[in-house]
Amino acid sequence: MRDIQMLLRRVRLLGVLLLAALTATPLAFANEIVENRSVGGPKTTIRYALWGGADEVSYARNICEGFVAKNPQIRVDVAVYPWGQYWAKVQTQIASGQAPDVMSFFSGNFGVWVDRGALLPLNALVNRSGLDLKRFHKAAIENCSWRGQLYCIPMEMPTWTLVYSKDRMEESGIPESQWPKPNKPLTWREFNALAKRLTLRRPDGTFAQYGMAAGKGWDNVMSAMYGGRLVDRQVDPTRGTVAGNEKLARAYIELFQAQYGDRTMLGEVPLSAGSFVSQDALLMSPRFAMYISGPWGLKQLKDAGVRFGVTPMPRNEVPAQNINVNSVGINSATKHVDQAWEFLQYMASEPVQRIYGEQLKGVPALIAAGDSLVHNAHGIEGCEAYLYDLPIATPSVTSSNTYLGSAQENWLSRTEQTLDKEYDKRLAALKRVNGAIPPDEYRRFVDGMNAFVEKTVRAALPKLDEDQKKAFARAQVKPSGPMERVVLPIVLLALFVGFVAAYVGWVRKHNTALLPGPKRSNLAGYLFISPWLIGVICFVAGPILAAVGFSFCNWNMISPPQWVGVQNYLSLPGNDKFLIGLVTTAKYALLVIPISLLGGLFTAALLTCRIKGADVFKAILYFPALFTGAEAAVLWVNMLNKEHGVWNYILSWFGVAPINWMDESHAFYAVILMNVFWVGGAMIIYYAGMKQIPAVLYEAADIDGAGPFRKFFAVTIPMLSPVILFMVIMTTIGAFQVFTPALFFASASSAIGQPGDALRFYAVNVYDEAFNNLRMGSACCYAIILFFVIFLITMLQMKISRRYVHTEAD
Amino acid sequence: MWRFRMAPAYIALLVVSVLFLFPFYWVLICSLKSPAGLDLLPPAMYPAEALTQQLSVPGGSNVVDAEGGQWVLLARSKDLVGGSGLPGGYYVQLQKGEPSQLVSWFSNDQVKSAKDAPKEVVFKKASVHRAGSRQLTIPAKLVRQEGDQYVELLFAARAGVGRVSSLEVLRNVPHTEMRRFEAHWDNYPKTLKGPEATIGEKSQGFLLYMRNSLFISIMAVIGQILSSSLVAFGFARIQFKGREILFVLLLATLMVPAQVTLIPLFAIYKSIGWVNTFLPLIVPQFTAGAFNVFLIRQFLLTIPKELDESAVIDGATPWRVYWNVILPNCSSVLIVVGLFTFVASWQDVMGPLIYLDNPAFRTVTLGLEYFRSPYVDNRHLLMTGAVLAMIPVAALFLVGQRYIMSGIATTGMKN
Repeated sequence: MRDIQMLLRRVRLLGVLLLAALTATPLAFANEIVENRSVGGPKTTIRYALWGGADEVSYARNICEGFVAKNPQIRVDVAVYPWGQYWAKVQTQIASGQAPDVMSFFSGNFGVWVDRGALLPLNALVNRSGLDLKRFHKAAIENCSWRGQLYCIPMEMPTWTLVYSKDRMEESGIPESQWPKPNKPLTWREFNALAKRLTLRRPDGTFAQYGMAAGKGWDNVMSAMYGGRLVDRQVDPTRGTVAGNEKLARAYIELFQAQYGDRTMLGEVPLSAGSFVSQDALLMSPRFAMYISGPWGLKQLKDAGVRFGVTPMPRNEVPAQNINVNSVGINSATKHVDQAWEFLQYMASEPVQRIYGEQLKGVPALIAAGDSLVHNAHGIEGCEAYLYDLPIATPSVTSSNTYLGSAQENWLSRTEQTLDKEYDKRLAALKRVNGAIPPDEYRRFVDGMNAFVEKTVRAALPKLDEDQKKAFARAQVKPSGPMERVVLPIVLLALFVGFVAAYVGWVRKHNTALLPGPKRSNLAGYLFISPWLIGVICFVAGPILAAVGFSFCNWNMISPPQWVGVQNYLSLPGNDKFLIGLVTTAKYALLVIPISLLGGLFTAALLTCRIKGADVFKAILYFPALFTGAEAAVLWVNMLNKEHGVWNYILSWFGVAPINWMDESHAFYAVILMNVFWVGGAMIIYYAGMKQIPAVLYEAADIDGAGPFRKFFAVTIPMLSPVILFMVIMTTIGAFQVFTPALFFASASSAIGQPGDALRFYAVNVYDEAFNNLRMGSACCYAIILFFVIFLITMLQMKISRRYVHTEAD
Repeated sequence: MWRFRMAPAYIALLVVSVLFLFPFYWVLICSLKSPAGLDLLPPAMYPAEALTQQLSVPGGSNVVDAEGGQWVLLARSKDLVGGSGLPGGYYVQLQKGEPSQLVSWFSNDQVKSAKDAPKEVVFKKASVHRAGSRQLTIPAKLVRQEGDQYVELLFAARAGVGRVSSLEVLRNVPHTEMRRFEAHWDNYPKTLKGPEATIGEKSQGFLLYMRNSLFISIMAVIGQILSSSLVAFGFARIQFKGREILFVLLLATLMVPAQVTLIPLFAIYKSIGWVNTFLPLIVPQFTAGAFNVFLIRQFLLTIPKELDESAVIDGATPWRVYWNVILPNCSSVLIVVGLFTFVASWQDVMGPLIYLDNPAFRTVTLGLEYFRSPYVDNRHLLMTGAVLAMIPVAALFLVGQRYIMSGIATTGMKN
């Protein structure tokens, strides 16, 4: 009878597994079909990737169709990714050796890819095929060259002009004859005077209108106008030129004086940060009279009925444009160099350049293709401003050269913060008569601010230099000495082995008898555990050893690893990201552990109160703990939205002002808040633990006259201590690996850790280093340190708990 | 008597339950909203639409003929004095007897910046009374807080035909008045098929993502159940040399953070051509997760030894004992292991993010990440996607709840 039952059970289990397998198999085949569809035919297929939206898809297809018609033996596979995902895609694809043959780049960051060895140098191909580079704008070619080699074919250059609102001009009583002209740039002095005139200050010191909305990149333009530059050209792109550069200092001082003195310019414009969609709103809102814009925004302005004019960028000592050349380059690992080059040549031809210029609304890099400037197609007057002086605008600034890292941006925002604070402080301290500030008092305030700006910028500039040097240094592969190369790695390895040995010894000492089994058979035993043995060797131990090895290397997954010894480790203490990651994670763990401990104990204790329907409550409270992944993050990002989020709405019932949970100072606490909802996981375990405490103990406590609280602290907690210890250890380990919220709180996986560095958890650093920066060695180094940290914390907790945790033997 | 004493516990549990379930209610209703519905202020607690789209035509006395059109006076206002003889107030123009509708809404960012702007921005500066302005209709929405109330301001300036155009379509009403119930059930088919106008690739939706995830997860479950039970049996029932030390090692691997093995594994998979296949997500699952082994072993220790000893006496090999005696008796813990594995695999973010690049291989988590497109407003579909991602896990939980609860209980045992 029992045999039959057992047989039935076995059959049932088998059946379930079989059914599952059967369900899974067609799913797998279905995928094969989808995959097969995209596999190429008999021709050579090259893959071309670019960023963009639906528009790009259509014109890229058109271009490729044209190319294929001319070259029937080549097939082009186009992939268009949204900007936010493009770089992450390219990075992972390059890392996994599956990068497209031809990829889009822009001048701001292609150099980094060159240095990683991802791009094919084009000089030899250019010479062989006789492509005449003189036919391109000099600025375009220069912005596609790196250390003297051409790496990309320039496609088009979004150039900038000054856009002004005619309404604002009228309101300020400036006669039309004095408005800026599309064919004549303002001088720097004229521009400043105009901005001043268009700035409207209320008597109380607030502003009704600013002369200029300066977005990102304005500082680059200004430094170029003064003849200074942040980086020493494309020839030696990593040589910072900040120190002792008076021109640069003047540019920054003037930039900040405009922002914090006369306030003719507002630096931080919420709309400027990459959202092209909304520029019309800027000029439509009466807050700003002028801003800089590329041609892409003009059509929208026109469609919205905004009255605006266009004029070339103002000029100071040097005519300056903030050029960012969009270009295409060949993946160095491509198997189809000739075909890819054929494609690039086609991209360099006049019709394609013209399409590109029209579609991206920039100036085509090919001079001959520039005649038909697209902007005119929109019937917008004055678009010659975009071409104005272009040939002599050559000494262009590479905007946001990636080698600067975030050094420049961080420096800017730091400086702005200092000045902001000072501005508010001084403004608040001003004497007022009937709420208005007397003019001479205000004048003194402006002068004082100007002086303060000069002092602050001069004091801060050396720091920018320093930050940049650090950023450059981090990008360089330094030769390492024998000490770093050999001795220290050995010491570290020995330490590692020592740790493992110590741990194993320690455990053996304390766990001598792990339950005797019924049968002794080495062979059977090893056979049974062989899946795990294989797994632990292949997927755990082997990779750990490899990670230790990689952590001594510089490795970008493109070129072979370079042994640099302990350099990765030595650079950690000076690395802000590392420290921030460590601190953020520690802070996270210190907050999450008590939340899960107290929340779990509290709810579990409630459930043990002989409650009716305890099972239902238990299930409800546990339910959210099931969802700690992407779906939860997505949901919480929605709930925590500042304006439309329900969370702020609920808080508003209690009189709490709307909190921007997604900003730098709150995002971290938003993640903590999510954790409150996940206490169910701990609750279940505490609940189970509590249920196992012998009732005798409580009865004894009852006899002693203990109240419920007394019983909780005198019986429950001590009896539960092993479980608590286990949970604390597991929570700690989990806390050090938190990753998913950061991914979904950031705008894209390439921006992981944002906002600011608020969510730069330790595990985020590992991902960021590996797959965003392609520094595998450094990422492994981070990971190894993480391993040690977790190891030490666990040991420490065990050690401490030996004293306090109740065990049966005590 | 005791019931009364229990009241605080009940209240506390109820409050926490409502709080904990609320996010799920929220995601459900959001999955039925439109983007505009998501933007309602204050947030709508039910799937709602802005009333703007169905403003009914108010009766005669409020309709004013001016500027060659009919206008509905919504509210009088002293701070607006029309230059065209209209009394000061907020108007909506009638077009073909219907109130003119908003053509487009500004995105969140703009609402935000407009909200931060000084209040007079809208009226005094927006070319309300300016002669000679030639402006097209610029619909805009400003939401701002006045006191503890949200107030919505709509305004637009119409293209004047040559002369003064004090043509404001303005409204200044408390926000709550402007909504009605409307559930967008079609969000679900849209999400399953993929939102329209996504970028470049073939339109792919959650149907594909869920299929991929389901395949990976089911394979993972099969792998973990088979391998973990095998290994757990080895550790629990067979004595062999080095068993203790290996078991300690197994427990120690619980401490190894996934990040340590991340990069070497990526390199290994890359070199054997596994990147961009499901294999890195499936094969390791057949090598017994340490936690699962621990779980099953704990359970096996509770099965009386006599059971398999008698089988051994009957001459059964260890394999027979495992397959015929032990396995049929531990279905409850296997269910738990299966459920855990399914949930973990279903929710895995890092693995798919790194290993799967082909759009056809996207899993549910990658799908959610992909749906956050910066080009298309998919926020509502993202919520629908989140619901779809939750359904299998929630369903499994409801079905296997009993096992999960008891299963987790075992994990808390001291080791």
